[in-house]
Amino acid sequence: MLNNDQLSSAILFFMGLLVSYFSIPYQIGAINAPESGFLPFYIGLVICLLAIGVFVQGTSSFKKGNKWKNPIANVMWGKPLISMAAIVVYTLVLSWVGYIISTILLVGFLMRAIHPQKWGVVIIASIVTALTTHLVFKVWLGTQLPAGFLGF
Amino acid sequence: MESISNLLMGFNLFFQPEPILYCFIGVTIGTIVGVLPGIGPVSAISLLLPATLAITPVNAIIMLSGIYYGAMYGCSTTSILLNIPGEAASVITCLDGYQMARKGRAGPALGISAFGSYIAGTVAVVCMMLVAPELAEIALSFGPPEYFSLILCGLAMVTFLAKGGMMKALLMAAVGLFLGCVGMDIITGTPRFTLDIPELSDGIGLVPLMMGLFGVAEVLRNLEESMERNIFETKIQNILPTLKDWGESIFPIIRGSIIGFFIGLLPGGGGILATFTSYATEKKISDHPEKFGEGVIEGVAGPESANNAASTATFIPLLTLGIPPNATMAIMFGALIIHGLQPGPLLMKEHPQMFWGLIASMYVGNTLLLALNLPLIGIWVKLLKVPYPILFPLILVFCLIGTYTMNNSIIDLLIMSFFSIVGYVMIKFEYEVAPLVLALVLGSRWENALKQSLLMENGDLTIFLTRPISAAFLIIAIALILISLIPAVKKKVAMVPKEETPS
Repeated sequence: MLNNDQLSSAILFFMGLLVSYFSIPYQIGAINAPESGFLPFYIGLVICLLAIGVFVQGTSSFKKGNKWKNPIANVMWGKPLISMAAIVVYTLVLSWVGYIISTILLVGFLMRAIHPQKWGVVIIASIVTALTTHLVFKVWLGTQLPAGFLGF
Repeated sequence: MESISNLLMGFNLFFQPEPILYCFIGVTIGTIVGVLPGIGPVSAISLLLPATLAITPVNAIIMLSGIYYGAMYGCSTTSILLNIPGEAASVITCLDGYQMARKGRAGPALGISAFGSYIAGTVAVVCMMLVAPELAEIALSFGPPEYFSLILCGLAMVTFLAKGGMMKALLMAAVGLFLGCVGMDIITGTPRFTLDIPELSDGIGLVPLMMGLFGVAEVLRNLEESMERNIFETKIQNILPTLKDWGESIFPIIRGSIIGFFIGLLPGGGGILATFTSYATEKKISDHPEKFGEGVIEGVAGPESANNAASTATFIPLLTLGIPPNATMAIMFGALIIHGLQPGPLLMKEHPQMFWGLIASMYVGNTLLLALNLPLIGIWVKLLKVPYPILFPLILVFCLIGTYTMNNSIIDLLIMSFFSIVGYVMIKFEYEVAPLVLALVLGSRWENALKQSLLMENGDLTIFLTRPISAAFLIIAIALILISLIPAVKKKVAMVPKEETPS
């Protein structure tokens, strides 16, 4: 089993390879006439080299007993996961549902699901948040927020 | 003499109702985000950046800058009353500030912190006024090779003290440089790595990236832990320090101001390093070093002054060289660009009203902050009582609105979501975010400097070594990288306090 540095550097090594590979179609050019793919190609190689460096460091610390540490052990990892999922769903439905309703639902959901608050607090806080931010950003600051199928 | 006449021009421009109002709004928001743990100046500036498009560039920069240095004032409140730093830069204030509060001396701790911040902030603005024009004058002689080497040197400095080791930080800087390549190649006009997404043709937006990496990722990390927060219940009284307090604090404030200013000038230096250096200095020269950590006022006065001086000094490399020394300045860099102002040596010549208006606003902003932080301390304490389970959905909503309103784009929200996950994973695997962000911001400029340099000398790489300034920057960069490989240095660097990811 690889340790954390070895695993992450291995992933970044492949990312570097991909960067260099996908730079080729943009034309690399020569040192006296660099093309669009020139810098990304060499950056990809640098990423690979540095990733090898981190991997070597990780291997040396592995030998000293620095084994794999589960980064989500002993933490409440479900809460970040649920919150992130809520953000993604919010992003996907925002244009269709509209700012006010989707924000009420997002804030209400996060307040109930992550660290459950009383329903009264949830309802008031989510409505106040959505309306206040709508007022400040759309009405006062003139920024655009999606209206959705209901028109608000 | 020229500086004084320029400053008068700045005051002339600033003393209008609008700039004063925006300065007031900025420092008030800054104090709030400084007080509230979990939201910081990067998120606040990113959030308000789209809203500033409707106002003049000068007012926008005055307001956004006010948020930054205002946050540095406000963050001491949580350190003193909660033992939780509002920003990473006020970690050290927890040691003696919280102990002072426990001994019933929360008032003097908050008071000296505000006065120290005021003095240091003002001293730093005076120094900025004197140093910045000279530095800009020197930078005017820089050509593409010098800029290439300067950016490389800046990145090497940022990565030198990074958490998790220099190699990992350099790796992140390289990833940032790649992300900076996404979008249209400025020289050839070829779109690169855009995945046929029109929103990516201008590159990866700084706001979605910052909101994801700093704002949302930090909230996700906080959610893993217990949300209990205990405010130390104490009556805040005697907020004005006594003569004895002043006697013990004045020299730490002066030393903190000087230390903070010089560390703030360095890329990667920032507030946290300045505060730890100030604290270590005070402890070393104190007659009673054993009392540090038990609630001595010098342990609050020095670091808080250093923090504020450093936050002001970080504007100098941004405004004169066009090099943001930390993540907050990276978003300020983006703000200047969005408002049509190119940070760098020509900024002061082409837009003197912006530079000197900002300087004038800092003088007044520091005074406003003193007025906000001392008499209104009760309000800030009440704000601290907002529970995190109620606060975090608001922070997330702010991140979402800030990102969306930049271009009214759902794609930007998806980019933000992507970088939220990336940021969270980076925290988990101990990779620092700041080098990535700085490299991303400077990436296109660095690429242009590289290409122009190569074209100038028909691909001859010695151009970077034959020009003395460029060679000096390169030597510093290479020396830093080589030094970091020495095991003894590596050990010492690992012990240096790190710049956390400020949300």
